[in-house]
Amino acid sequence: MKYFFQIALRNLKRHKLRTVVSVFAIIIAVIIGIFYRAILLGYSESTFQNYIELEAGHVRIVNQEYDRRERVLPLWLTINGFEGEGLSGMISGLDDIKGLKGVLPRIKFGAAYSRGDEMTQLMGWGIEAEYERMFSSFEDYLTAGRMMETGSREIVLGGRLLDELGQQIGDRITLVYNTAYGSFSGSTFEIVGRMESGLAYLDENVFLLSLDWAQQILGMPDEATELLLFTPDRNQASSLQKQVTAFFEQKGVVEKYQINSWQDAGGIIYWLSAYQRMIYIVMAAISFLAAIVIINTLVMVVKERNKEIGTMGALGMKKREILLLLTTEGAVMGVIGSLCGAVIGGLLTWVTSHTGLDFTEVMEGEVISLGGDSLIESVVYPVFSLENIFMAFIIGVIITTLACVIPGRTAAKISPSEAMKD
Amino acid sequence: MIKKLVVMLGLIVFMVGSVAQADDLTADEIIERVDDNQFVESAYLEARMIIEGRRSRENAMYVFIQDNNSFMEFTAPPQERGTKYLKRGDELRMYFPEAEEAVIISGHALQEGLAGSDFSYQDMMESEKLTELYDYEIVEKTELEGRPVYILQGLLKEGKEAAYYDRKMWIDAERFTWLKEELYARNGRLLKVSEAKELQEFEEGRWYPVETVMEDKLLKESRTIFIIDHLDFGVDIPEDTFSIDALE
Repeated sequence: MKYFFQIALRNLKRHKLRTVVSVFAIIIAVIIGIFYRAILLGYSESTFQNYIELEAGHVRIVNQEYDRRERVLPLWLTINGFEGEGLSGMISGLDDIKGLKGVLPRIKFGAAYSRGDEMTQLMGWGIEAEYERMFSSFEDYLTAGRMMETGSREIVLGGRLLDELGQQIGDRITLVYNTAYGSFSGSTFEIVGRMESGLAYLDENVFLLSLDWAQQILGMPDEATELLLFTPDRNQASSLQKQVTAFFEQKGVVEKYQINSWQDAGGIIYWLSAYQRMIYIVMAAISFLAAIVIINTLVMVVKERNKEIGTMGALGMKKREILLLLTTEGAVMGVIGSLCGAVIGGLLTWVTSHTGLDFTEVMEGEVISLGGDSLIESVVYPVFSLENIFMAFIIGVIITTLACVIPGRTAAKISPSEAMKD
Repeated sequence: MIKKLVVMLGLIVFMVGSVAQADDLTADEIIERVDDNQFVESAYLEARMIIEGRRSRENAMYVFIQDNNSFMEFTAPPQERGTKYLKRGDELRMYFPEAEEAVIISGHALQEGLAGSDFSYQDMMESEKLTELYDYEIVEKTELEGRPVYILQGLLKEGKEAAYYDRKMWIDAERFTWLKEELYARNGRLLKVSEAKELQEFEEGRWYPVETVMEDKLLKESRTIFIIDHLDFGVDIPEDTFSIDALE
C-alpha cells in the first residue's frame, strides 16, 4: 500500500497545475458544504426558537375553531376552562402533568391608532411579563425602557412601530380595539418600553400589555386566546402533546380545544425540518460536482499515460492494482482538498457565528411568511459545529475517492498489447 | 233623486280616480314620500339595542340628531356606559371613558358593527335622502304580512357613496314607510336584511319604525333588535351638543 501511495504522490507531482486545480475544486466544495449547512442550521435554530417563543410554545392550546379563524383574531373563541370556570382552573389542572415546565396564557387582539383620516392597524398581545421571561425573549428585545407592570395601563411597542407612530417612551397614546363583544372601545396607555427583535412583524405591528389589563378592557375575565406550554427540551413536545390530549379527554373537552405540538406546523417550519434531514445529501451532491473535475483530470491522465499503464500491465501489475493506483491518486487529492476545505470552512463558520451575516438589505420588503408573519430574522448566525466539519471532510474524501473508480476502471481495462502498439 | 245620483256618481268617480292616481305613483314619488317620513331634520330619541349572537347583550342609549350631525351616548351596560359618538358631516368621532381623548374613526373601521351590533358605523353615517343617493324602479306591487306594499329596487347613483350598492325595499303602500329592506354589495352579494316590526304614527300621516330587526347575512346567527322607547321630532337642540368639547 505504501508503494502505491508513493507512486500516486509522484504521479500527482508530475502535473502540478492540474493537481492544484483539482484540489482547489474540492476545497471550494467542502467550504460551501460546511458553510451552507452552518447557515441553514443558524436559520433553522433561530426560526424554530422564534416560532416556539412567539407562536407555538412547545405545545399550544387554542379553541377548536380559533385555529381556522386566527387571521381575524376572534376574541369570542377563547380558552375559558374545562367547564367555563375560567382559565385559572385549567392552568391549575395542567400543573399535574409530568414533564410540563411552564404555562403561558396570552391574548392576541387587533387594534388601531387613529391619525385624522388614517388608521394604523396594530396587534396587541396581552402577556404575563413575569412568567414570560422564563420562556421568551421579550425582555431581551428591550432596547429602551422596561416591561409593563401587572395591572397597569402600560405598553411596550416594537421599535419600528413606535417610530411610525411618531411616539416615544413616556408618551401617552390612545388606541381603539374590538372587544370580545365585537364593539369598538378605546383606552389611553403609557408607553414604557421599546423592543427591537429583528423580526419585522413584531417590530412593526405589535404592542405588549399586561394580560390582566387586556382581559379587563376586552371584556374577557379569566380568559385567553391561547395557552403555550413548555417542556425542558423542545424534543419532548410530542410526548407532552399526548399527555395533554389524554388529560383533556379525561375532562371531556378534547373536542372543544385543539392541542398542537410546534413540530406539527406546516409552512417554513416543516420545510426547514425536512431540509435539515436532507442536507447531507446536498453536501454529497456538491462534493460530487467537485469530483467531476477530478474525474475529468484523471480521464485525461489515463489517456496520456496509456503506454505507461500498458507497460505496467505488461510488467505484471494486475488490473485491480492499476485501479487501486488511480483511486489512490484521487483519494490523495480528496484528502488534501477536504482537509484544507474543512479548516477554511470551519474558520469561516467560527468567525461568522460571532459576527453574524446581515441580510437586512436583501430582505427589505421581502417577507418570508408563516401564515403571513415573518419569523426569519434578517441577521443570521451560522452554527459552528465540529460534527458539521467532520462530516463535510468525510463526505469530500469518500465522494472524491469513489468518483475516481470510473477512470480507474478505464485504466484497468487497457490491454498491454494494444497500449504498446500506439 | 237625480241630485243624489249625481253626487254618488261624483263620489264614485273621485274614489276611482284616487285609486287610479295612487296606482300611478312613480318610483321617485313613492321614495319621496318615504323620505318625507323617514328623513330626520332634528330629533331626540332614547333607544335600546338587543344584540343576539356570539355574546348577547342589551345596550341603552340616547341620541340627538340635527341635519347632518348626530350625538349618541350609551347609558348601559356598564362596559359601554359613557361611550359617546359624534357625527359631524362625514366625520365620526368616538370617545371612551378609558381614553383621554376622542378618536376619529375612518376607512374600513366604519364597516364594524356599532357596539358589536349588526348596524355598522357606516349605516350611522348615512344622513342623505334616499332620493339623493339611489335611482329607484318599481318591481311590483304585492302584499307583505297583510299590508299592501310596493317593492322597489334602488341602485346607487354614479358618483355617490353609500354603505350599500343595491337596496330592495318593501314600502307600505298606505303609510309610505319601509317594512323590509335587503341590502346588497356591488357584486350582488346579500349583506343585510332589516325588517320594521312595529311602526308608530308620530304626526298625522308620519309613520316611523320603532322596532327594527337587522340581520348581518355575513355572520352566522347574528341579529340586532333596535327599539325606540322615546322619540321627539323637530326638537330645538343646543348647538354645542355637537361640539368636540361635549364629546370629551
